[in-house]
Amino acid sequence: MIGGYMGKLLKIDLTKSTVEVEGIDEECLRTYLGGSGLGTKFLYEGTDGKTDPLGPDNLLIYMTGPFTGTTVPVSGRHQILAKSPLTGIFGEGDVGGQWGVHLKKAGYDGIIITGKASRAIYIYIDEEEVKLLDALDLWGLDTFETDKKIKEKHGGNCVTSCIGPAGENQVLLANIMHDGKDARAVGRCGLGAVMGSKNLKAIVVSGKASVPIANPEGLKASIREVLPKIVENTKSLKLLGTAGSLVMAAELGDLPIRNWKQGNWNSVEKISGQKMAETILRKNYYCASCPIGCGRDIEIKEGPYAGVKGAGPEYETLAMLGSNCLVEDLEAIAYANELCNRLGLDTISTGAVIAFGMELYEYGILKEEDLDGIQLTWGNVDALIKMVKKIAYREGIGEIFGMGTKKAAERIGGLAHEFAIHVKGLELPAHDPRAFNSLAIGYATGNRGACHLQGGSFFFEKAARMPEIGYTEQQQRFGTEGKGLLNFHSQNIMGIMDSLKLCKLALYGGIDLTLMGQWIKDVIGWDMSLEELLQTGERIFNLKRMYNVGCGISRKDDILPMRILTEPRKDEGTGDNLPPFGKVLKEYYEIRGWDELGIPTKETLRRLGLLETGVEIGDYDH
Amino acid sequence: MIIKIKLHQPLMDNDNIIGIDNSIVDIEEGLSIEALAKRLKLNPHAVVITVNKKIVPRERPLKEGDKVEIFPIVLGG
Repeated sequence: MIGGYMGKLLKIDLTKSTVEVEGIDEECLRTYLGGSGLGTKFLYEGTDGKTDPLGPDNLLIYMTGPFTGTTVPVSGRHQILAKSPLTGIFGEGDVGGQWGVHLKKAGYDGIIITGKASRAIYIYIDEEEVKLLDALDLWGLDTFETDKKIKEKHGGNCVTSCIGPAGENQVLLANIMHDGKDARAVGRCGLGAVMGSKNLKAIVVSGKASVPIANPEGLKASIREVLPKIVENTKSLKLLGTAGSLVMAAELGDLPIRNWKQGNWNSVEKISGQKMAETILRKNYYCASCPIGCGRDIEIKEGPYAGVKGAGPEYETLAMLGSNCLVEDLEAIAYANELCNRLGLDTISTGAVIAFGMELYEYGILKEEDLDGIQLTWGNVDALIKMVKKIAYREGIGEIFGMGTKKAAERIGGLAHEFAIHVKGLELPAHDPRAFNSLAIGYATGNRGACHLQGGSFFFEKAARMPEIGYTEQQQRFGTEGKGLLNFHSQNIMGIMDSLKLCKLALYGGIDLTLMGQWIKDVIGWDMSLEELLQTGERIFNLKRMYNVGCGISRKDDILPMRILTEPRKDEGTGDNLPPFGKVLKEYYEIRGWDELGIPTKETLRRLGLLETGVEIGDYDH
Repeated sequence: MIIKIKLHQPLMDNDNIIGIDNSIVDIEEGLSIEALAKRLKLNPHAVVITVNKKIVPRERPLKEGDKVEIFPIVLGG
């Protein structure tokens, strides 16, 4: 028997109110690892280009990885996947916290949910039973209230994954929240709307079982060796959180400012991680099995935002609700962050669409009368907060903004598209390809749209290393050379980490492919060569791409917003730099074994074992 | 005025500041944390500085006997 897996999947049909337990064979596990990889396989098999993301046939898939629930550092994570209603293509999100660990310890590696409940329900799972329970008294509550009420009913040991009003209202920016006030989010791709479309308010799990480990002594020894290095190298994250890098990001030209238009901004220190630590920070938050503790636990005791208590804003949130909207009030951002967490909205896309609206207002494309009387000026905190609420409840202009920047621009028309900063419908996260050239191809080819965490290339243009594949030194952040190959490697590695379930921040702590291989051996019991591991990452990435090909995605979609490609930031960090694109994309396609239209060739699919697993390559002649 | 400075990896590899790790340093009174970072040829925004294990405002003057630790910022999130 192998370790690392519980060997069971829950299959729940909400239309029929049925629950089945299925096994998973070892070959399948070894081919896709778990988490993102295994979830992608199930999503590929169960949905396609024709599936309505908000219809009962879409799947909502929760997957843990083989490391979830073990002592492997930074492994307290899980993945949620579905066809995205925001983008209409492959959708997924990775999240830390306690929830995935409890699901595993309740005895399951994952859950595949289909259908639509006839009334509001929630799912309760523990080691003894799985129940579909009435959620009428939870419907309408925010995510913190939902968690509180569920704990009152089922006891304090359970943990909750749930949606807020935004998910219930099927807002396309709706997220799925975990762990109550600790507020761990699967933010991107509008997966909360999928949950809402199924009348599913929450999934509550409680488990105490042990995850089997193939070689406990070996695992203990290898963790003991690397742990001090992880702790030492990530101290700044413990002290200031991811927000600690905000000012440096601004200096490098990495921080989005004024809807990605502006280079410098004098107010950045007012919303920095340092400022948070000096003022409203209470303590660190640690996900399960995490020695880093980058999470912020804050409290605002006085002033207009008094009462905010719990998870504080991360780097991405401070950038998207802060600098990108020119909001320079840290406590206001913390309030807007909590509002998004409670209502169940992705702070990245929500901040992005509000910044987009502010620019449209500046240029007169949207006027006060289009905005329900709101003066949507830059830095206007009251307008920002009103917009968050309007988006969550689909009120007035919130109905349009809640569709995301791409669809909102289509609806508004005219020049609005020029200011919609997204790739494939997913708003850019808060790192600028003009500051880290490699991000350009990573964003353009990201399977869920623009994403730095699924591309991951810029980690290697900073402090992360991966000696096994030749990245022993910091990569240049500008220039063209090697950027296609870097993206090929880093995307594959991010896929491996999302499947095993490892937090990407641990790359700074020295977690590398050798260590991943060692832990696969210690936890699962497999001897997996570096070549097999890398090919597994490549397989997972290509299966996601093939899903998207089935949704009509090709080269025409692998593009960046023109603002990013043609307007230099003109700041101290980047000057006139613009990310190289066409040449690097061509190089990238060649390295990937894709044709000139960006579609994996038959040979590539055969090499990765994807032809045999039932992938249809469509009508295009390879 | 005497303070103690500890530099954390990978700052210790920086040629500019080798020789002061875990050192007892004599500085003038009133020197702020930010000014100390600049004195060490560090970008104050590229590091986190704690004084006696705590984050304090960067403009705060250092005091006799303070234990200063300096960590490189990890960019990401």
